[in-house]
Amino acid sequence: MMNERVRKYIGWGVVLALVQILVFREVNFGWGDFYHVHILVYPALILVLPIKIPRTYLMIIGFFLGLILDLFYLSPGIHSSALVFMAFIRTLVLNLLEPRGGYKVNSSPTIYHLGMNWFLSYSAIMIFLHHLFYFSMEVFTFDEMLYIWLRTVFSFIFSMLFILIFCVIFNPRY
Amino acid sequence: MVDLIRFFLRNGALFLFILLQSICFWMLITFNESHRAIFLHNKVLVTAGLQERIDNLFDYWDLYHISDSLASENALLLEKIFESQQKEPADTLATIHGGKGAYSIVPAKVIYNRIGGRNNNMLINRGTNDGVDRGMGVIDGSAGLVGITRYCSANFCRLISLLHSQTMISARIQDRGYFGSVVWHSVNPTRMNLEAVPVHARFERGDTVVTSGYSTLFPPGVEIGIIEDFDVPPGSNFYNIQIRLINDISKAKYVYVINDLLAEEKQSHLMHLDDE
Repeated sequence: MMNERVRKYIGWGVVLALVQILVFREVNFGWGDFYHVHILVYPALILVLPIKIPRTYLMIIGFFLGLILDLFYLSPGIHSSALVFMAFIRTLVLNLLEPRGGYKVNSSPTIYHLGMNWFLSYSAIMIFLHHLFYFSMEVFTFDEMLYIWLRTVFSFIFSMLFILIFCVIFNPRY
Repeated sequence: MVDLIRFFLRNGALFLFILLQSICFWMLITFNESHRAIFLHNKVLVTAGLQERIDNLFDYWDLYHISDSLASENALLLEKIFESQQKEPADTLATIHGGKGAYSIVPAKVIYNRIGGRNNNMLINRGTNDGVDRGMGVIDGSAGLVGITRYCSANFCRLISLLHSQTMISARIQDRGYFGSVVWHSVNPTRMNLEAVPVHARFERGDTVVTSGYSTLFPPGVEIGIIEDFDVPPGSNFYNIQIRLINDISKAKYVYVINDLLAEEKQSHLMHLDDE
């Protein structure tokens, strides 16, 4: 049982990383002078991992997933840093959004377990913070705040769209 | 002691967070600091082979345009051969430097290119084995600049793209002589800025910006772009000039690395300029 579950998560990780590297890395999206859309789908893995998984494990998973993406983006530290940050704040966000009865012991924060409305607010908070952190790390200076915010907001809209499509298609049950 | 261990255990997540973030920061810093390239040097080796395979996969879709551009490049080269045959041999640099020429050109293929970020990098399939090394200019096959080599392994080399916040290329406005630096401020991969041209300079929209040849990266006279717009920021003594790049960097595929054979000699002079 547990093995099957672990295998499934590894499978999702591989699929998300491949989709990011083969498809979304090649997408340069923009209208005229506007080049702020930059789609990141792989944070979906950190979103859907089980609730009871320890925070430290989550951060290590995030670090290595980020490292793999960094290797392909030729951008050392940026993806891993943002994913570690996202894994770190997941517990805080989960506490913030805890439903009245608490979470079920073996559930995951997914549409299947907690419903579309809950998942929307959960993923929106997580992905927005991830993107904000990611673009701040990429620019690495606070001189270009406008750039960071434009990138964050517009990339967020499109990343959310694709992550929701991913979550609806695969609809993780565990 | 026990208390200390308990403290670490209780706040384990926080400490791990700080530890992992410091690793990420360390990677970022070494990446920006040009001398400590060890991590990137290894990284280029690890993924370059795989990267090349991914690129080969996408190659099929580009074949039509590539064959087209190859043909036009060849035509251009033929033109140059004919041109040089008609010239007097005595006025070429080749004869002055013992027939070796001042530049050696290494053709290369871009196997990874990205224009979406603030600091964009590229990967080409030539390395130290082919005579490509750190700090050489890379130009596009037909026209325009592509980037500057940074970290080279035996068979691959990583470039900073022209679209990088650290790019700074010495340039000149053709036929007018004023020079400045070309930098990338915008998010638009087709525009760059020419800076440090003094306000007394006279030029027009539509003038061509070319490399000045004051550095060892690019030979003089390579076209960069066309002046599209300019203004003088309030309180400044320099123009802010926007130029439209002559080439589309996102489509750069077959490029040429320029190895300035006299680079060391030039650099030794440039270094001593400050002493006097």
